[in-house]
Amino acid sequence: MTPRTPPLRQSVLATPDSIRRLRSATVEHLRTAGLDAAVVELAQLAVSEAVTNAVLHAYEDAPGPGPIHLAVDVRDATVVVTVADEGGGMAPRMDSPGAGLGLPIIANIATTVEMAHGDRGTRVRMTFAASP
Amino acid sequence: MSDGDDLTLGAPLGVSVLQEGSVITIALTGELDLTTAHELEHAAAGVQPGGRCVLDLRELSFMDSAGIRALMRLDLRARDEGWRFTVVRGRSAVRRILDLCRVGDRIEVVDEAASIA
Repeated sequence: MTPRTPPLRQSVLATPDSIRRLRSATVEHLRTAGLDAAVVELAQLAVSEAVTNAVLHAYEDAPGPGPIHLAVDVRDATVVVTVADEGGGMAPRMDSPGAGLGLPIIANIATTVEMAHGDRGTRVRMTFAASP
Repeated sequence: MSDGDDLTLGAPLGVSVLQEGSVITIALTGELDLTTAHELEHAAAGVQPGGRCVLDLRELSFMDSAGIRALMRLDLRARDEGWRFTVVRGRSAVRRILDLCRVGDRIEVVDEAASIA
């Protein structure tokens, strides 16, 4: 693994195609950093779930999609992935689609998960061991 | 953003459908997520009561919970309409989420197409 991998920062509009874009950017970044394929796969899945949640829920009550911010940092033995939005958050809704699988999946595959929600949006910070 | 040199990176979903009698085999390549899950359900639209749908995931490179939800909707259809639904699991990224969501508890999951009885 490269000891000093530059961080990845990307901000895109929360449209459905942002899911694949940010997932691909994460995979490309971590592969370039030389990380084990198993770790790359875990981060790929976690980013997909977190971005999907933001696309579906963050701007439900807004006139249009707002931004999603992705940050990926490789720090020694840890990969830190943060997905943040500037929307209304993931309040329980009766009309919400899906079976609510995304967050349980993230909680299962990440080493740690922190979720913060406030007036300025929702932030999900996930860490993974750089070696499986 | 660059898609890189790896042609499999961020590949869209590819769907091929083979019908042999009452058996429809759907083979997926690329990535199954929120934006592509409807393509799978569309491909399975022609399965008839008493028939069978084999979903071949061996060449699928990625699937997330939107794909799991699509599988669950197909399973509900299969039970409602009376056809058999079998999933052939594939690469590690796909195997992981199938196992994580315990899809095999509800849907018939096999390792190889050859093992389909």
